Amino acid sequence: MKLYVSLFASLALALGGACRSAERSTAAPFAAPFPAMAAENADGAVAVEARHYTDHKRVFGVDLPREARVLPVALKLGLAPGASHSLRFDPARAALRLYLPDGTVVASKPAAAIQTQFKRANERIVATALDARVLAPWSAAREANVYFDLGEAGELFVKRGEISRRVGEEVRTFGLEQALIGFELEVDGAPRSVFVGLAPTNGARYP
Amino acid sequence: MSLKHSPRARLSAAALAAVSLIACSAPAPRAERAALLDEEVAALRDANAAGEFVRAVEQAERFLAQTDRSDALGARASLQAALEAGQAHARLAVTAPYLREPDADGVWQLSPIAHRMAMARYYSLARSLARRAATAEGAEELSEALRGADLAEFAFHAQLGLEPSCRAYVQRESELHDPRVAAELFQRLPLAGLRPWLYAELFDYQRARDERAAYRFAIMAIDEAPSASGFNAQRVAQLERWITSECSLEFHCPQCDLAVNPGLRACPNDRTPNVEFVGRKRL
Repeated sequence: MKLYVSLFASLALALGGACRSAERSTAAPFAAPFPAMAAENADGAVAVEARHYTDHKRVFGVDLPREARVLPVALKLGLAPGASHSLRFDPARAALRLYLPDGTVVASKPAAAIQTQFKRANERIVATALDARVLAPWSAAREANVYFDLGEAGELFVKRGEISRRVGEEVRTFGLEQALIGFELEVDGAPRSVFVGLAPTNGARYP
Repeated sequence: MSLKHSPRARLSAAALAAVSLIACSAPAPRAERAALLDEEVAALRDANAAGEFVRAVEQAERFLAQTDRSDALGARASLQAALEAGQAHARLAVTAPYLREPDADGVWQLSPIAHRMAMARYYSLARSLARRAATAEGAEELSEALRGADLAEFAFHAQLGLEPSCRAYVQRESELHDPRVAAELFQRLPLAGLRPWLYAELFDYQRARDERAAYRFAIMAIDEAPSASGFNAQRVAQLERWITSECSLEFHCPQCDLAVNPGLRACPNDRTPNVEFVGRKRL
């Protein structure tokens, strides 16, 4: 009996296979998404993480894209485990930039130039900003903020981990996890470009 | 002659109008619609072939905005258009970028990276259409083009030093682990200028797994390094250092037993290419 069941199953499989091969192939090779740009990266001597806290209002008291037209990104930067180099980061020379999937590039804005109507928010923007420093080993690295300039109202909008760009009549919306951050720093005195993806997430807290 | 005013370009504009009309009105004869879509995709291909990349991008944008992708035919044509738009941005990145990014002085400079971001967006759209397009006539030919798109994106991530995504991709694509298979594939696809990045990334993956394969990838990366702008001397030196001192094997010419000199492409005695040298335990 068991043998008959097995034979029947084999026949059914063979017939099914024959029918399928008679149809046009429905396989879609290479359709798997390319792996996303990770929001944590260790590239040689440099280790970096980038997050946009969608609940950053808990820290600043205001929604920064709406109140100050900037996108806050918490960067954690440090010397990669096992590396023995001197890394120096200076936000004024870092050329921080946010690349959107359609090729739009958003520049950063110095913390001191960002103004909201609220004194406490303004203080926190400066207090939590990433400043010039010699980078610590990764185990001692801490998050600090950089701010990307969304420009005048009407072109770029940020909401719940998505960024939208108006192009004429069209509005293009992308998840921030599809964006790329790039900046410059010095490794042993030589300039070096560093890149990392961006993770929109919850969990903002004052450092 | 500018393609902008060529018969095909004029026909293409008419075809686009017809395609959008067809998409919005009653079902058109399938063959007619297929011909119109093919005509439009051919116009995009012509624009790229003529080096009119900006026009290719603009035309692809319009086509993608107006074409119904809900059936296999529309999905296949849109997939092809997205691939053409991606290739146009990839070529713009190298030849004539127009997108910009700020430098350390706040001056907005031309940005090849911004173009490659746009390339990746179009390739992502193409992949998302592959399943729906798979039943359309001629869809089999798209596999190779999609493979090329994956590899161009892999090279982009490698250039940016995005290790996690490169590692995930190489782990997934096991056929790339074999240097001969990878080399054959990379030669077949239009990846000029990107191959050193691909080989170097595959070297990184194999160096702790299979030193013989890693050696071949390192040699191929060194050999092709002059063809790639931005593939710096430091990276070449790192690969050479691994071959001459860090690898647990040493590589010799199979004809005369001379030890490899990675700075040369072949054995100086008998011209055996470095890539064919054989490894043995370092003494």
